[in-house]
Amino acid sequence: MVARVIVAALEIIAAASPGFLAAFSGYDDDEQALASARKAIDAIPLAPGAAGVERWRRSFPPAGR
Amino acid sequence: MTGSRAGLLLAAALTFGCGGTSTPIQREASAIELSARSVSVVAQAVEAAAYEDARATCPEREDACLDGVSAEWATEDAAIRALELALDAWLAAAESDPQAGLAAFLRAYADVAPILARRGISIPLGFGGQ
Repeated sequence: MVARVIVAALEIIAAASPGFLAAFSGYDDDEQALASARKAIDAIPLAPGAAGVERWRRSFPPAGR
Repeated sequence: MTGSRAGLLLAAALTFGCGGTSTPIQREASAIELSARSVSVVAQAVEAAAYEDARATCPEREDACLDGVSAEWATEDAAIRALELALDAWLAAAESDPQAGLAAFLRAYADVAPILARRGISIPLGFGGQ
């Protein structure tokens, strides 16, 4: 529900003022903007499915090991 | 308006918007960053779902059982990787051909969305999640 409200708000903003959101991104220059995007891509978790299984496997040592 | 259209509208506004003081590259970078953050949220959802799957399927944590569950999540892991690679390509094209980069990312998402949807996972901001 909250997500739908946010989406609706973004629709209104984006429709009413293209570029509005980008204007508040806070970048000083192009290089900084591209570096920030690079950082966001690098932060994407790798193999999250396998990581989730491993988290359960290692959550505590099984008895007898 | 559908969620998909809302996502496209937002991405387009960020990418091709003409207001404000930011440059075209900064707007492009904003769209890429927003998309990357969305993918990160999805990846976290995948991690949590896989954890629950492993816990429910292998309560005794047998290695063979857990290896089987992990293998079952390989498709979702590949889907996340595909989105990451599409974002890489979009960023690489940010200055030369951003429209092609955005289009390629959305195509990648269209391919990946059904895979994630089978696990009950959708992208935030309505990107393709119907």
